[in-house]
Amino acid sequence: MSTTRRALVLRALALLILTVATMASLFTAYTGVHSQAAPVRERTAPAILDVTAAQNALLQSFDAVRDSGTGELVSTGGGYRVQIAVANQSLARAAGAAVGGEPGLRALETVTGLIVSYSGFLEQADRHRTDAALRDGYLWYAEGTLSRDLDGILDRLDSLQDQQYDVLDGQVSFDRGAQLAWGATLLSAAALLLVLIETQVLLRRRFRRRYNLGLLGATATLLIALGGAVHVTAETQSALDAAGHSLRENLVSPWVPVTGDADTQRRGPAEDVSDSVQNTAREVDDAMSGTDAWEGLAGLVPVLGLLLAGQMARGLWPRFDEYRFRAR
Amino acid sequence: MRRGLLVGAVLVALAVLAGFAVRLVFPAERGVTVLASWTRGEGELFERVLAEFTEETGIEVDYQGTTALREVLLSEVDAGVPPDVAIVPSVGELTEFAQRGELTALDFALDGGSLGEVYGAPWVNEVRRGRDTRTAAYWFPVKVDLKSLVWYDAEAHGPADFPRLLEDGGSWCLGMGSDATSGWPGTDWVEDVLLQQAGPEVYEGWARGEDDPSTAWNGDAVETAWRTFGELVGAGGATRGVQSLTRDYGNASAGLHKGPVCQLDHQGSHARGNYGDLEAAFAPSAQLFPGTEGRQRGWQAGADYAAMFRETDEAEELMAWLAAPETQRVWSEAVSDRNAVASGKLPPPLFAASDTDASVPDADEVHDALAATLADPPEPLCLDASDVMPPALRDAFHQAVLTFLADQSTLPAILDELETIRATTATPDRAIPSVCGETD
Repeated sequence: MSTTRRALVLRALALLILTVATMASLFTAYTGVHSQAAPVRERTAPAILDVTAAQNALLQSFDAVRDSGTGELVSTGGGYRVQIAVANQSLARAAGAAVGGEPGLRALETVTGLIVSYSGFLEQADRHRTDAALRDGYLWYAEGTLSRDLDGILDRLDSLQDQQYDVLDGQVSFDRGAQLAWGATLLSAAALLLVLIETQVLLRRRFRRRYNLGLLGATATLLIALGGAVHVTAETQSALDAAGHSLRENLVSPWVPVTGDADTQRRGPAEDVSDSVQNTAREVDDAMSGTDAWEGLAGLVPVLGLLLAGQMARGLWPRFDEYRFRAR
Repeated sequence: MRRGLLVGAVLVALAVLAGFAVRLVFPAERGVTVLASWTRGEGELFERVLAEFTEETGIEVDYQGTTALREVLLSEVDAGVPPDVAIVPSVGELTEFAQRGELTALDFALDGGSLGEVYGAPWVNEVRRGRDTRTAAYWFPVKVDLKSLVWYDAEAHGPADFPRLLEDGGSWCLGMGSDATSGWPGTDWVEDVLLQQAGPEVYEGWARGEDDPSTAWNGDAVETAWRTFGELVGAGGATRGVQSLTRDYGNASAGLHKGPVCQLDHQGSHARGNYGDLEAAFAPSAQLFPGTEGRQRGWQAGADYAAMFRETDEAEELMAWLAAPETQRVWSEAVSDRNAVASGKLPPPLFAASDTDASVPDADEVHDALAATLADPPEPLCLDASDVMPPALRDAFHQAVLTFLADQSTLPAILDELETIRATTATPDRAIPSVCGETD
């Protein structure tokens, strides 16, 4: 084989391998960031909010019985049932999201069991509302079950939410894996660009043509596509950051665990907590809106690869032909 | 130079490709899930014991501890996702699960023989599964607690002071609070008074729910036991009963050395953990109960029993490990290690099958006396009656104690209600055959 033919074959091979490598790494890097958007938007963020909503509803159920009248015939304490139902629904949704994996689900099952026992005590307290000693006793057991540090319902939900936050951190952070994937993509794309330019120079010298339009087109396509991918990824990443920040900073916990007696806990007004849950949900929605459209673009990466290969083939094929004709 | 460039480019490409091509997937290792009622110090202790199991076998254990054990276990079982292993104090619950076919029969052998041979009655009872006429063992006690004891400060008092202390119901440390199981300390009182006043036969018949006037809830023997309990804690016009409704049992026991706010504590051996540095001694409860002539007629004992809900190799390995008397050494060392670093001392644990080779760190005379009573009881050893009853009856018993303490005049109505619940829930032919073991 002559030197020129060998040079052409080598470049065609290098371009092919680098195109495949660049597309593979781009696909991984792109989906690595964009595939986190849907789980954050649809599962992790709602699950975190559901846990806070459940805690708030449980505290309200306690207040409903404690602050209800002690009349014999009519009680206002029945409102606790609505709050318990709200808490159970929130936790059922959180369980459906399965954010903490198997341990998270087990923790939720334990909490659900404790809520059965807690609501039983509230029911007894409401039932014995005219008997101060028994009513106080049942309220005491309910409060212990609810807010005892370490094994009370609220503290267990705090631990569960901590696990959910850990999952969230993993999803929203531009972590080492993402950095590696994007580093590899950029490195591989740079190498591809370099070989494209070098081939352009070689063809100019050997075949006396000013420009090779095929290779030029491939270079432009690569730069535009890469620029676009980097841009939308930066947008999605900043949406993830914003959602993470909102959940971490703006969500108000309904209680502050205090070591010691169960009745020394402090809490903010229930309305503030409800407002913060709703506002945070809105902020997350706003931040994440539009991220789903970008995720689907990952499917275009193989198409981009084929387009690049086609353009390169279009640029190189005539030169192979031309060379074959001259060599004879 | 150009060739160098090309080779470099090809190498970069190959490295990138190789990096993305290689994805090794390791099969996930199967662990064991365990559910028990131990939380806080006890839970931390059990996790130390489980850590030793993991170190020995490489099997990871996911432990959940909760006082709402019944609710959690039932919801998990009904949802089809039971824990692999559950450690439950209620034999009544386990009997129910066994009859529903939820438990796996334990047929592994230990060094000393089968489970039944190593532990014996009443600790290991064989029950039927569903309509099957064959019986099998489904549980064994992991850790036990000797009851029928009254604790006092040995430096401040002696048995000679008991008559004087009994004149004031305020002498008793009394707390009914225990989160999901609030009320159980009162059930222990009623059970123990009945055992000491009426003897093991009546006690056993009552615990098994036998249809007999002498063991009925509204029969004389049981009613006398309730009244004795009420009179003891209400002696001299004391209001301990009502106060106890909003006091946790652990805090109540701690009153023996704090203040002291009380001088007598009717509690099991586990209560030693609440006495701090106090030199607490125990007297057999009959010495303080009226209507017993001071004669102890039996010993109540509670335990936490391990049962297997899902038959996996890992779960079976954990069960066999927990059942082996040698594991008691691990427990004892875990207690000792924990006490060295944590505040609030736990007493050395007690076991149903004694491991004669084990030396117990932190053991003292009191521990040895408790262990000797368990190993060779001079009077019949009886399982905690409420633990043996069907869960619905036991829960009603807990609530009945609370209602009784709030207003003792409600007793006749309470007992009639309990008798009605017994008639509809207890089925003696399905209850465990032996509540009180044999004595030599």
